[in-house]
Amino acid sequence: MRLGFIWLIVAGLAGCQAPAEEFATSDWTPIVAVPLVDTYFDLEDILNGLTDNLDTVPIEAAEGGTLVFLYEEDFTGTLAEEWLSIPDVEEAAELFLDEVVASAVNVSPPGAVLMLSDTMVSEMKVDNPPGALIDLVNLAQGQLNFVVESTMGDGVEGQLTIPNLLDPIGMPWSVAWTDAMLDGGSFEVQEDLEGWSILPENPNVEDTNLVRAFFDVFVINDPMHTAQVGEGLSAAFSMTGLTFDRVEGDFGSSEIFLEEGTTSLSFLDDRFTVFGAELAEAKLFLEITNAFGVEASLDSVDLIAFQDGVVVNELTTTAPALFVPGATGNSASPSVTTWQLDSENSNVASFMNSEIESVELSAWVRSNPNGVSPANPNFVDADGFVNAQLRAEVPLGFRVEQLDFLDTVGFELDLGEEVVELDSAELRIILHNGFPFGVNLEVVLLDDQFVAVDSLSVSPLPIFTVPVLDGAGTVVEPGVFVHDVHFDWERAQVLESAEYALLKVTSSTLGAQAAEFVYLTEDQGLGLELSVKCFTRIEP
Amino acid sequence: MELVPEWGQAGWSNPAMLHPSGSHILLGGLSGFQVELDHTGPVYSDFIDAEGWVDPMLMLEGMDPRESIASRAEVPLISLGFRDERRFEFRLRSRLVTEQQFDYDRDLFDIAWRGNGHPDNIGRPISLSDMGFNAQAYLDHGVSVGAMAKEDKLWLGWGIHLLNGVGAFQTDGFEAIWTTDSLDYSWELQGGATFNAAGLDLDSLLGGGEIEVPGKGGLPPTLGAGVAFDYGLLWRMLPWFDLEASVEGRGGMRWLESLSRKEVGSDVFVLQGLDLVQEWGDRDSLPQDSIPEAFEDWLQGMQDSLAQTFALEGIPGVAGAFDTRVRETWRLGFRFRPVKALEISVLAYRQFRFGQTEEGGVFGLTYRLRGNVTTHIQGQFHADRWLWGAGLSLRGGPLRFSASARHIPGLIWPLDSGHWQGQAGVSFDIGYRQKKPKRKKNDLGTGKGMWH
Repeated sequence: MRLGFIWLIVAGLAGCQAPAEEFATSDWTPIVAVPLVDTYFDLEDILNGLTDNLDTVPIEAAEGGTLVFLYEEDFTGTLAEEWLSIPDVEEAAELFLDEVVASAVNVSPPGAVLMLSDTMVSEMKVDNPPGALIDLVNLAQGQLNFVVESTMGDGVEGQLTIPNLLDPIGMPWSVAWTDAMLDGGSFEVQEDLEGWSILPENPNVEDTNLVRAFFDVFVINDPMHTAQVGEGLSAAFSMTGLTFDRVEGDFGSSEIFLEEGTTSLSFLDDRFTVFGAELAEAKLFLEITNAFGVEASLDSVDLIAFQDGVVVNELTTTAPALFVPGATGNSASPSVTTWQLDSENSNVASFMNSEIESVELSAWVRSNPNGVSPANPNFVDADGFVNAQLRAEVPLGFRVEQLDFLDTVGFELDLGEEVVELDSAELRIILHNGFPFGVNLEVVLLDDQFVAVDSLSVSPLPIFTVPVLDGAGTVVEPGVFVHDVHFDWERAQVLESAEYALLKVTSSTLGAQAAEFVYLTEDQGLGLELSVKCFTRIEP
Repeated sequence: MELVPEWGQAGWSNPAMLHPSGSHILLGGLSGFQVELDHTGPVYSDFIDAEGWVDPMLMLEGMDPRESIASRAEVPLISLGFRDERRFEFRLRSRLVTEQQFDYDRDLFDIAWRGNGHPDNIGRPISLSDMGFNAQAYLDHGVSVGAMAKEDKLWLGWGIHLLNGVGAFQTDGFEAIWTTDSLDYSWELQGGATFNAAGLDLDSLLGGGEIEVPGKGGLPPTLGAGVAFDYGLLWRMLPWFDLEASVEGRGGMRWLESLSRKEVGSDVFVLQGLDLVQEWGDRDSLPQDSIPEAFEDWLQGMQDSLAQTFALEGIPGVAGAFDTRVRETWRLGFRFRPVKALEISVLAYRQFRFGQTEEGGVFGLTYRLRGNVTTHIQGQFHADRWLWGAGLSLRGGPLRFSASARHIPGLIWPLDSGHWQGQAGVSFDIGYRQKKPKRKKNDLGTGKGMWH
């Protein structure tokens, strides 16, 4: 019974323990780790992206994936009309009666004809190219003017022939006039020379490009008039506005302009300081297209590098002059030849270093280095030209012992209203560097008085950690950089007060001190991961 | 308490054990009704003090990697037992058993409270693979016999249970592992699950439908069938010392009717950050203003991909049968009687339930007064904590009333307890007339029952 009594007491006490009426607990502070960005891009991705967004990208992948910087420039060149111009042809002659001739006219029977003849010779002096000997000019345009003026009282008739000026069917130009045509004292004849040809004569080295005009004058005695000394007749012809479809001859030796000018060619601006930078290799190709029927020689390419107005480098080469054949038959079959400069025959690699600010370039070819064979004369068609394209190929293999970048940029950060549920956050930055160089970064944030208020880290961050390379300089294992940036609301306020960011970047290539070059290839890339730890705080 | 003969279930826990009465009848309803609620994790007072201050870290520190909340109810419909003195006993019983168990991982609370970025969590697989919910209800029609194999030395017992399943829900497989990379904080989610049900329409449940009670208030249909066996041994090594061993409930059911099955295919989902280069490629350009938009797209894409990776799908065609086990308990112990009325018992056990295994031990003290009053107290080491139980069995004439609780402090101080168990029953005992002169000393079959 006693046990039963105890049992009843126990049962009666059942449930006497009651929970607290109110509960409280500490803040809920879970730490949430979330990946934000995980991306990788190699140089091929970058090139593809740039190619999609830009018309051209100056970098291409060569065989083996090595990237090559390409620079192409079309030279101004020379057009046919610029190099060769046909001068106007002008000549005049006067025929006056002297006493003998006047007496002869007066004493002759009425109606008798006295013939007088003369020759006009004009030299087509070609200044461009100087000293050119012209054998043939097929005219595209031009006009011939022939004017005869007479002061003679007797009847005068005559004719003029230019045997060097042929019409499209090959007949010499000729004109005849009657006495009636001089009733007014003069007459004028014009001829459109389109399709005509001029065949100048080059009888000797002194008389060149001659155009002759022969004229005959027939004086008919007028019994009503007594010829006086001094009466006369003048004739003049001119061929002006001459343009050609084709010119043949011996154009001599003269320069044909390719390019001349100054180009800004600065790889790095003044925010960079470089020490011990060197390119592994560079090549220059000068491709000349010659649509003149003129052989030429490239022997004048001057490349001079300037820095601060001072010559710092000059391209020198041991390459022989380039022989440039002429076009075959006409300008539609130009010749194309290429002059190549590389490390074997020039100092082009050292020339294209980072210290260049500007480059002065001048280039010509010289015509007929070997003279002209009469059997194979020079020719220039109206659409002929000589031009060139400069192509620089610089494989992205280089070494840089020290490259510093220093700049101050504007900085603005707005993190919005404080989120009470977020105590702080820790941004983790991971960079997998597959490039054969290292980069250290310092970021100091400045206020509007340029006073430092915060910094990314106490010491420079090796954001591009040096990777592991094999003997061939290929990246075997990327360098991994991990850094946590802690943010809390107090720091956020500081960051929001910053106005500027001072960036200091230092970089060097692997083995640069040992004069080893590194090469950029399209499969080299950078992996970027951003993650965040959110230190949350939620009040119960 | 199931091994104390006076409480009526001893012969079902160890069929070699005989009831103290000659015959007994337990009628439905209150005749041996048992309810058990068990939580293996920290109890209220482990992490909440009297002032109501909740310390989640104390809760986490008090948890094992896997914890469970389980309940079980047994309602005997009828139970009969007939005994031929101490030589033989035949038993027949029908009962309704319902049991549920929800297993959960400590990591579930850990990651919720401390987050995946906590130094203790980041970089390690956070496994939720022990999670699962299992439940079943079945009718158990059992026949059991116990027989003396060697005169007053050895008793052997055997029982068989014919099981009629009423309803079940089974987590057939569940795998969920969340690893946050300690370097880049990327997530790897590995998971998969399979759920089976009988008598429950999972499609309806997933669609927000209500759980329909099998049978709709009437006699529930039989959706599964099975059999389970009991084995028992009682070896009286000395007149005052017994060695006992038993296996209870070794068997299970195959569910065949009204089945449905859902599956989340085993897969791995990796959450990494936004691939800016890809976004750039997809968009042709990625101006600064479109980065938030790109992040939104990426986030939506991740959600879609996650949902697609771990989509809960039905199994095409007719769902196949599935098996469940019933609770199985192995026991090994001894008891000795320093004096006639006093019995001291020590028992170790291993219990298998819904794929989980649990070990424990019990020591008990039983005092019997003139065969009519039996009291019992015990200490049980269960789920890393001690339970202190007691029971009282009173017999008056043919009626026996028995009640017990496995953890009395849990009734008085429920906030300190993770285990609540109660048992009460009224039986109609037809006993042999006590022929005291003929009784042998320390006769097992006349009230010298054993408890645990």
